[in-house]
Amino acid sequence: MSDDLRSELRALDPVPPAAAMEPIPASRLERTMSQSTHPTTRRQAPTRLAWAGGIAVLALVAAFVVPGLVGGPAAGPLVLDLPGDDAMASCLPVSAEFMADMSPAFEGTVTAVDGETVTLSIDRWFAGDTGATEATMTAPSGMEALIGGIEFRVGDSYLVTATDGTVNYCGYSGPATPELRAIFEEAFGA
Amino acid sequence: MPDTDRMMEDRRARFEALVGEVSDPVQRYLLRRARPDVADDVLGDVLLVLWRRLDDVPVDDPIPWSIGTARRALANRRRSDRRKLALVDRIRAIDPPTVAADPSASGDHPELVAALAGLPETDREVLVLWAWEGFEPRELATVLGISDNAAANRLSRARRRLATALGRQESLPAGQDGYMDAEEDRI
Repeated sequence: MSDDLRSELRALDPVPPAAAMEPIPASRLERTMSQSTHPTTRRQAPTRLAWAGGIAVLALVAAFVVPGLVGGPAAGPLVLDLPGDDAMASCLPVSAEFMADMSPAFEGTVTAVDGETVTLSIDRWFAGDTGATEATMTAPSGMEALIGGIEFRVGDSYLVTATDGTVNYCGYSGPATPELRAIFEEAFGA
Repeated sequence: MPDTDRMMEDRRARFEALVGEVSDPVQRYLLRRARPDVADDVLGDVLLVLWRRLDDVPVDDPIPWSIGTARRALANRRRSDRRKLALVDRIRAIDPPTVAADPSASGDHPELVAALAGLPETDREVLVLWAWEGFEPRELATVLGISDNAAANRLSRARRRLATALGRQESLPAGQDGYMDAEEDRI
């Protein structure tokens, strides 16, 4: 029966053998070969770091997300995700009314930017106060550059909203300008 | 020509030969599991790993190693993008006319797809690698990063579970009891 099963499964193959694959253009190989200046060393840093980052994020989530949700006096850091590359695909004008449904919302000062993770010390809660004094926000693996969608700089203050654990971009989070703070105050009646 | 230049030339030639050998199966692997634009992005990641780890790629049989790399690169990418189609969705999205092209099997497909959907992801993955990529346990072991023995066990367990889910009598590997009954059922 194994051969039957195998051929039945093959009938579901979305890319059957008859479908021809595009050859990879030489220019693309050239680009690949130019990306590493020391190709003969067995550095696996990018891959390994990405994995290590993933594990670190898991550990953070495991350690803090539960107490973060439960809240209480000894709450751990607030853990949020930064959105992926589609986050800024379509942005409507920022509205305080729309923002009012977002939680948590806070103002914080960046204390560290480490690869894909931004750490902030929370200075002021606008909504969804968990009692945390610190927040970590992590970009999807390999998305370091997109943290720059909002350029997080150590020592600067930011206003942040999130929905379902993911930071809202599109003007709903950003550097703590008086204008954005005014919208936060209007939205959250603070 | 200085030695370093010669080494670099040699390295480039080896990389180009390697890509020539693995690009077709790697592209198939990715296109079976991701949208074309995502597959193309991940292909770039795979190429970079192959280039950087050229000395680690097994010369005699680079395809399973490369597919294993593609598997990890895709998993990495998936974590960063929740919009990807799951494998089952992918199967469901198959163009019906393609499926109907094989009349002997077409009648079984809804059951087969449902049975696959009901299996744990690890079972589904190994079955599909076995059927679509055509890998045997030793190659599955390389792709999945597990021992040969574990790969063989995982495959036979998945086959049993799929057969059971399909309501077929034979829960033993081919050649043992139930094999003939199954043949008769199908005929």
